Amino acid sequence: MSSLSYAAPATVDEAIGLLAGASGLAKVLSGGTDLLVQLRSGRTRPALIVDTKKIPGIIGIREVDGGFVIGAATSGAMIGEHAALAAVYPGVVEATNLIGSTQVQGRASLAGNLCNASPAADSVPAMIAAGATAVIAGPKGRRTVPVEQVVTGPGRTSLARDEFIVEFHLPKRAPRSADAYLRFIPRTEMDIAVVGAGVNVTLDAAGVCTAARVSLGAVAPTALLVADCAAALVGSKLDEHALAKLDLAARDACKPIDDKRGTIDFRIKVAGVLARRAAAIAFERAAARS
Amino acid sequence: MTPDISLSQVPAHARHGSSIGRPLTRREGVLKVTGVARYAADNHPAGMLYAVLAASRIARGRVTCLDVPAAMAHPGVVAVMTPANRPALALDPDAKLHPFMFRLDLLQSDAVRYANQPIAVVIAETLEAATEGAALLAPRYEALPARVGLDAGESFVPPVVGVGHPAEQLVGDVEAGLASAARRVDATYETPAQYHNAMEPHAVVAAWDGDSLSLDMPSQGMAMAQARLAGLLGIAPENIMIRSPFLGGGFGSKGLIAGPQVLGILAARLVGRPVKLVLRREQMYGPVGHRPPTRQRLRIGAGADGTLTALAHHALITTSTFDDFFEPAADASHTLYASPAIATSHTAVRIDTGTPMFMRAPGEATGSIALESAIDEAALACRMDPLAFRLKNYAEVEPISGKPFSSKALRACYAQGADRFGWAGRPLAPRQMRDAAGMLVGWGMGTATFPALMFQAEARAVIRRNGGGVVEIGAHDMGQGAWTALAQIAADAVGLGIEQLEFRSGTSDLPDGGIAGGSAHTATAGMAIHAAGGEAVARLAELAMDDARSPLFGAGNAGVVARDGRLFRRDDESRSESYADILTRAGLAQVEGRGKSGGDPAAQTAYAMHAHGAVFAEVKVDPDLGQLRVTRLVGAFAAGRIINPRMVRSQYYGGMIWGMAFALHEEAVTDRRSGRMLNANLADYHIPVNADVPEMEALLVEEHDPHVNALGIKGVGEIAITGTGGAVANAVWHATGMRARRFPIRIDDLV
Ligand SMILES: Cc1cc2nc3c(=O)[nH]c(=O)nc-3n(C[C@H](O)[C@H](O)[C@H](O)COP(=O)(O)OP(=O)(O)OC[C@H]3O[C@@H](n4cnc5c(N)ncnc54)[C@H](O)[C@@H]3O)c2cc1C
Repeated sequence: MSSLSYAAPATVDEAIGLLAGASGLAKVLSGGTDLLVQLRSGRTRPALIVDTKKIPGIIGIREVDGGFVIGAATSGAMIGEHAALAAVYPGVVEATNLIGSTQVQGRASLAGNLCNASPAADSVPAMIAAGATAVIAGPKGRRTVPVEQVVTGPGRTSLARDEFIVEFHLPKRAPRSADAYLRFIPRTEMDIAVVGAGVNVTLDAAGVCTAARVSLGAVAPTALLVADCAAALVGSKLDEHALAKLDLAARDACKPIDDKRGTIDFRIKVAGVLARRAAAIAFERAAARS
Repeated sequence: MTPDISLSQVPAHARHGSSIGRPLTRREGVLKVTGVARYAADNHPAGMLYAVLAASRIARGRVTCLDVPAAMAHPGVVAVMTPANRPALALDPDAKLHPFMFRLDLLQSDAVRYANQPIAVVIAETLEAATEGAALLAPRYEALPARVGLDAGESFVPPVVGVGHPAEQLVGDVEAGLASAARRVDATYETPAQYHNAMEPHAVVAAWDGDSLSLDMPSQGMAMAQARLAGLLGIAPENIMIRSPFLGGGFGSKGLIAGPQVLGILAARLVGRPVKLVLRREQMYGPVGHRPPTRQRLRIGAGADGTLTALAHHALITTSTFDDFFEPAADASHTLYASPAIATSHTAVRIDTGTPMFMRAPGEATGSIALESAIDEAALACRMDPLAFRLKNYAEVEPISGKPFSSKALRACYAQGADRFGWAGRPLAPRQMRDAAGMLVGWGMGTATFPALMFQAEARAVIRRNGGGVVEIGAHDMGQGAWTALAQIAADAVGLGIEQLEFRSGTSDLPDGGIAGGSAHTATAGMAIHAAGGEAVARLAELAMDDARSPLFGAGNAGVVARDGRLFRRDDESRSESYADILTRAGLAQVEGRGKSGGDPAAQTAYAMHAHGAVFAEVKVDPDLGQLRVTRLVGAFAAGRIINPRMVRSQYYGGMIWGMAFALHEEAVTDRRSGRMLNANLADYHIPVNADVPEMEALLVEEHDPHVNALGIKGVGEIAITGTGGAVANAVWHATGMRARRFPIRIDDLV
C-alpha cells in the first residue's frame, strides 16, 4: 500500500533533515508542474514530498554585485515581470517564459525545470549559455556548481538525495553582452521543444565577439554546452563564414533520438538553423547594449 | 378540413416577427460562463459513492489475477466489481441484435480485447480511495502478441460500411476510363487513428430505486440509451430517467451509451447506493470509440482538357476483433466530381483495438482529405488551376446515383469563397510566393460536402390562454447551440415571440428528440417541433374558424398565419384574433399538439441531398525549418435554411479547426509491441490550441431547398471538417512543392 506524506519546512536545514531522514523516495516540490503530473500518472511514487516554497528567499529575485540571484522556486511569471533581469538576460527570461501556458507560468520554476532533467527543458540551455550557477544545499553546507553539471541524464541529476537547489546565480555582465534562446516546436504553443538553442555573447567596441557560450537542448540526453560553437563565434562579427562554422559545429554536437516529435536528421538540421538564428539575435542585442 | 398553416414555405427572412434566422446568442450561455450549468459529473446525490475503472494494460489476452483483497483492505473501499460478482444482465453484452447495437465490455469475462478495456470497477467512499483501490488491484495478465496497424492481418471486404452502405460501388468502367486517360494520378494516402477527446469525459451518476433508474449522464441520444439500457438491465425504458442537459462535447462518442457508463450503473446496483463514475482522460482511448486509421488509394484519370474519365477510391481500414464498424472513407468519392466511371471499395483488417465509432464526419472527413489531395494532384497533372479543375468536373447530378440534387449552391460557394480569399492570380507552380519575413506562402482549396440526413423525433407543443407556450422535446445541446436553434424553430411553430416560449429539453421523459448526430439534429428535432407547433396552431384555428364570433370565422381554405400570439387570415391580415381571446371564448386553458418527424422516402428516392462548401487555406512555411502555420482559412458553405447564423458560423469555425487538426495535428500513436496507446492524453495527442488557429471566415451562402424537409434545413455540424483538411494539405504543397500523403503532415517531411 502506498502512503504519501507532505511537509512544508520553513528553513533550509529543516528541509535537508526531512530529505535525509525519509524512509522511502523523497521528492522536492517547487511549482509542481512536473511533479504533480508525474504523481498523477503514477510515474513517480514518492513516500515524502518536501515543499520548499515556505523557505524564506526561495522565491524572489535579488540584484547582487551587479548580477542576479534567483530563488530556486521563483515562478516563470515573476521572472518575466522583472524588468532589470529581462534587460540584462533577455535570453534566460524568454526561455523561462516559453515554459507552458499562463497557468503553468504561475508556478513553474527554474529549479524544477532543471531537476526534472528533461533533455528538452527550455530554461536549461539558456541558463547554461548565460553561465548560470546553482547553489546546492546539503548536510555538509552549500556548494556552487555550473548549471551544466547538475543534470547527468534523462531524469537524473548529480544531487544527492539529501540535497536541493536553493538559488541560481547569474553573473555580472560585461558591456555589450546579451543572450537569446530559440526553440522549435511543431505547434504554435504548448509543446515540448524538438530542439532548443541558447546563445550568449560579448562583443568588443568594434562588434567583434570576444566571448561566447552556446548550449543546445533536446538533441542529446542532457543539454549540451558546445565549445566548438562558441569557438565559431569568437573573433567574428557573425559573418556568413562564422555562421556556417556555427551551424556545422551545432550539427556535429547533436546526438538526438528519433521520436514522434522529430527524426534524428530533422533535429540535427534544426539545431544548426536555430543556433544561427539565436546567435544573430544575441549579437544584435549585445550591440545595442554598449 | 385542415387549415393551411404551413408557415415555413415562406422564406424566414421575409417573415415579420420570425425567430428563425436571427443571430441569437446561446440560451444557456450565461449558465455556462457563470458555472451554474450542471454537467453530469457535477451531481452528488445523497449517499453517493465513487467508482473508478481499472483498465487493461495489455491489448490482447486474459486477466489472470486481480488482487481484490488488497483493494478491499484499503480504507474507504466499499466494493470491487469484477466478472465474478458483476450483477447479472438480461442481455449478453456481446449480443448484436441489429447493426447499431455495438458490443460492450461489461466485465463479461476475463478476456482482454484491447488496451484500456475495463477489467474491474472499484467503488469507494471517496474518489481517492477508489483510485487507490484500482491501483491496488495490480492486475496480472496472460498476454498474447497485439495485432497493431493496417498491415496486422488478412484484409477482407466488409459486409457493409458506415450506416449500412455497400462496401463496393461501381458506375461505368473505371479501368477503361483510366486506360483512355491523357493524365493519370495514382496516389496512396494514410490517415491516423483519432480519438473524439470531448472536453467532458464520459460520466454517469446512477441511482437505483427498486427497478427504477435515475441517471445524470451526457448523451447525444437519450432515447437510444434508454432502450439499450432497458435491454441490458431487463427493465422497462420508462423506468429509466436520463438527465443530459449539457454536454461538454460528444463528437459522436456519446451517441450510443458507452460501456463504462453502463458499468457505473451496474456498480450502483451492486452496492445499492448512488454511484458516480467518470473516465480519466487516458481511459477515453479505448472503450468509447475512435476514428480508425485508413490507407486510401486514389486513381484518377482525366482527358487533356481536364475532364475526368475515371475515379477509383479504395480504403483499407481497421476495426476491432469483436465488432463491426467500418469507416466509409471511400464513399467521399460518390458525390463531388462528375466522372463517367466511379469505383469505391473498402477492405478491413481486424486488430486489437476498441471498436471504432462514428466520429466527426465518419468517412466523409477521412475520405475527403485523400480525395481533395488527389484532385489537387490531378489538377496539377492537367496543368490547371485547382478551382478551374473542380468547376470543369462539377457534378450537375449526383455522380454515383445519377439523381438530381435537391439543391446545390456549390458554384456560389466556390465563387464567394474564392473572391473573399483572393484566389485569383494564384500561381500554378509551387514555391512561388514569399511573405516579407521570407516565409514560403501557399494557397490551397478543397470542396466540402456532407449528406443532409433526417432521423426520427417527436415533440409536444402547448399554447396557453395566458399568452405563453411550451415546447417539449428531449433534444441534446452538446455545445452546438441546439437549444437555441430549436427554441427559435419552436417559437415560430407556435407563433409566439421567443420570450413567450418555454422550451423544455434535455431529459428522457420528454418526447424523443432523436439523436444529435449525423448533423441532422436541427432538421430532425426541428421538424418534429414544427409539426407539433403546427398541430397546436391548427387546433386554435379550428376553434376560431368554427366560431361565428371570431374575426376568423370561415377562413376555411384561405387558412391562417400564426404570429406574435395571434392568428391572422392569410388573405386578409386585417382580420386577426389573439390566442388568449380564442381560448377564453372556447373555455380552454390551453391547446396541445404533437408532432413527429422523419425522412420523406419519396423525396429521398428522387433526390440526392447534401450540403456543400468550398474551403480556401493559406499556409506559411519556414523554408529552413519546415515550421508550418495556417494563416488564413475562408470557407463558404451552403446548407439550406440557416436557423441561427451565429451558431452556424461557430459550427463552421469548429469544423474548419477540426479539418486543420486532421491535416496537421491529430494522431493517436499505438506502441507496436504492446498495442497500448503512447499518447493517451491531451499533452501528447495534439489538438490545435488557440494560437494554432488562424484568421477564419465562414460565409453563409444562400440556398433554398424545397425537398430536404419543410423547413429547408440541412446540417452544418460536420461539413466544415471536410474540404478543410485537403485545403490545408494542398496549401502546404503549394508553399513547399512537397505533397503530403501521410497525415498529419510531418514537418520533417517538408525539409
Ligand atoms: C502544461 C504544461 C506545459 C509545459 N510546457 C513546458 C515547456 O514548454 N517547456 C519546458 O521546459 N517545460 C514545460 N513543462 C514542464 C514544467 O512546467 C517545467 O519543467 C517547470 O519548469 C517545472 O518547474 P516546477 O517548479 O513546476 O517543478 P516541480 O514539478 O516542482 O519539480 C520538478 C522536478 O524537480 C525537482 N525539484 C523541484 N525543485 C527542486 C529543487 N529546488 N531542488 C532540487 N530538485 C527540485 C522535483 O523533485 C521534481 O523532480 C510543462 C508542464 C506542463 C504541465
